[in-house]
Amino acid sequence: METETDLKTTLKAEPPDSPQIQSKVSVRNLSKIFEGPDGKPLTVIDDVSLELRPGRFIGLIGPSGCGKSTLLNIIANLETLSSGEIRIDGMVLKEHPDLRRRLAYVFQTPRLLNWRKVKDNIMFALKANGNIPKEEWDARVKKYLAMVGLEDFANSFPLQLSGGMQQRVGIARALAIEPDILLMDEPFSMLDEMTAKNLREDLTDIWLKEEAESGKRRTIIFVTHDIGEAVFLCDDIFMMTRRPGKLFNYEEVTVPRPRGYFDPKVLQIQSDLTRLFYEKALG
Amino acid sequence: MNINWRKFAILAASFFTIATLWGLASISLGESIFGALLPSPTTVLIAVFNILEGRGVIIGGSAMYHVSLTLARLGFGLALGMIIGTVLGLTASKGRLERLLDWPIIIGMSLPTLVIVLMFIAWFHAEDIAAVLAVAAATTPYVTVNIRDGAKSIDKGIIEMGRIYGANRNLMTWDIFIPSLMPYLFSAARYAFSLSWKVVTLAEAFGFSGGIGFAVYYNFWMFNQDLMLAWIVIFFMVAIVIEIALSLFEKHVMIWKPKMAT
Amino acid sequence: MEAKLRDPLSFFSNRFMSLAYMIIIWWVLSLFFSRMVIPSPQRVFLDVVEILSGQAEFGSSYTQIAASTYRIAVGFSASMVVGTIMGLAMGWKRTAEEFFNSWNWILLIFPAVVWTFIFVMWFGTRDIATIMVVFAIVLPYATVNIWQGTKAMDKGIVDMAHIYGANRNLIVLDVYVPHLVPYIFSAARISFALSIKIITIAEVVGASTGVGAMISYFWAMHDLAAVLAWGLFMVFLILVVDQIVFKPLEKRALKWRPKLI
Repeated sequence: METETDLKTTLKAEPPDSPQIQSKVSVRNLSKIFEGPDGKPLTVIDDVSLELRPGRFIGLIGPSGCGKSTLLNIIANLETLSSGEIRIDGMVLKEHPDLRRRLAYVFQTPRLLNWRKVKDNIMFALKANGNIPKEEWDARVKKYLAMVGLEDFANSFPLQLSGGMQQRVGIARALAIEPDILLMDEPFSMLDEMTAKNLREDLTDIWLKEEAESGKRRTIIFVTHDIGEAVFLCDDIFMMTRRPGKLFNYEEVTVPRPRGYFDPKVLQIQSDLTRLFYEKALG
Repeated sequence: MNINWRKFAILAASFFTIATLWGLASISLGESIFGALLPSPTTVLIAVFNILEGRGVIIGGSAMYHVSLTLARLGFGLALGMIIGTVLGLTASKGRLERLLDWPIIIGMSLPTLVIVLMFIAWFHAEDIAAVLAVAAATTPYVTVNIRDGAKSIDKGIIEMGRIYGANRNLMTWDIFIPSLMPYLFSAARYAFSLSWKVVTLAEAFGFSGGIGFAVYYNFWMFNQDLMLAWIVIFFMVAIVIEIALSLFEKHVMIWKPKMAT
Repeated sequence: MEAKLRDPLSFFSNRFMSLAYMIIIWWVLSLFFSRMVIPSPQRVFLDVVEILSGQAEFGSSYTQIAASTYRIAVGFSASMVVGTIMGLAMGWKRTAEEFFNSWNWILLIFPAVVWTFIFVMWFGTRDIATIMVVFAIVLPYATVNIWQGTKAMDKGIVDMAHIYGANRNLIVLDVYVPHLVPYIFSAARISFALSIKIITIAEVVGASTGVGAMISYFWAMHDLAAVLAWGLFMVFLILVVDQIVFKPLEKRALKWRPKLI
């Protein structure tokens, strides 16, 4: 286990069997300072640097308020950074706003348009993207709804579905624009554990299946505060301290998939990380 | 269409109670020199049919004429009030203009409707335009406040989602803003509608020639109590029909909302 | 004070400037129209001052105001009492809600002027007629407010009280009443402002004294300035009562609430 408190070194090169290169995200010396409620500056992200390997399932763990969601929002162009830079495939995000089209986002709450049918919700993302030819829309809606197992609910309204199903629509919506990078902000934290477990397995299946079909793996950046979830899902795990958020650890999870929740290797990594977490992140 | 029998029964009971109380009141108030002080429900009911069939008609024309006149004034005034109110409400929900509108809204809501009506009559005499503008002026402040508060409480998460997915202005307006605003538009419309009725009748009672308010006023001064009450009943009949139409329309538009079992 | 200087533009969009703008626009318009169409702000303000200082065409303006105030007070109080009872009933029992819903709707839509005709037909131009008009118009507003407030009672807290063995008195006093207080205030404010507006309508036809009667008189005299003056006086009255009576009372009653940022 590598414990690097100073993560300026780039990680090792892509493993030999890595699939075709996808988008490489690089975060350098990123800081984000908000104006706090009392007017004093609040440093939420403190000089964070990450080199994210393409085609990997990347986890970002930290306690509440450590800026991990903010980091995601900055990558999604929803917030500005205070200093530092973000590059995707070498291009600076700020200077190339249309890089945004290669990203998709799944939120903590489904954030669906409750007044539109499920299929129209997917359609919304396709329309909004601007880069997707109209002829493909119907096919994509069908395909990705089927992928999340909701092909029978295309004509339902979101409020007729359960929380887990709504979240799956959110995932289908994100996948439908076929993003290079999928950003996920604690997408299962509002669901009950049973549903969450199922969705985690489904997410892994979909991710692997897409690779089998298209030969490429999407990069997923997954934010969570649940260490067990991260170990189950991710290849690369980055850990942040509480505010001001600094990166304090990186861990690579090499356990082959499919992983079991009670696989001893998984549990071991989980308990090690948990201990480290309590030592460093919450200190 | 599922008819909830229980609800229907209770509704019928409440109307029946009204009719009964009315009947009792009319009996107990007895007779005076001018005839019954309170005509019984049956007398009034007969008078209603008379009016609808064209008898006992007043200056101006048939029942249809007066009803449509009132509705026309109400309709235009309400539409105007909704449009102006929505525009103002949206501007007031963000930016500087909000504070500038504070006082005009407060004054608009506190100024007695009577004074508003009289003002417009002073400016435009007893023409239709006066009634229309009076309705518009009276309803605008309420619509503004409703829409302003509604626009402020739109789900920011959905707006963020739209932005992240790159929605252009067109998409944001039609797929996000307007549907989010719909419940507030309906609530504003419902309130403005009931206010409009009051303003129109008030205006008509003040010397317009024609309309339901005028009919009530005319019969009042002519001591035709039964006809006066009959016109009031007609007023309610029209109002109920429109109200039902409006709520059916609302149900259709808001079909995506599940029925909340509270 | 520095904040104002930092952003000069904000001074011009200050809420009090809007009053100034309105008066300026009014004044400009009054120069172009006769005093029967748009009386000048000066004349109207002078009339308002007259009203406030007790003068009137005949006798004191205070007498008129007092007459109206008496009727408003009775009508308003009666509607608050009955409205609270009806609202509680509606919020409590489904049957009551469905039964009174139609009554409420009818009352909400009933024009004040029509009520005036009806009550004057019954009672002549006695006080009771105008009081009944106020009562009838305001009642549904009070009812709806209390009804919604009762419905919004958090059942979880009531259950908690039961589990801890609180008797009915305690529950009513410590749970229901405090919950209802903001709704009662809201109902009172709306109802009071409405009463003031309604009395003008009722008194035009239904009384020979009072603010409405004054408006009727001056309207017949084509004195639009006086009509507007009385109108503005009503606005002033509503604002004053709101600030001096309701707001401070509400503040004291709700001092446990955190200030909304």
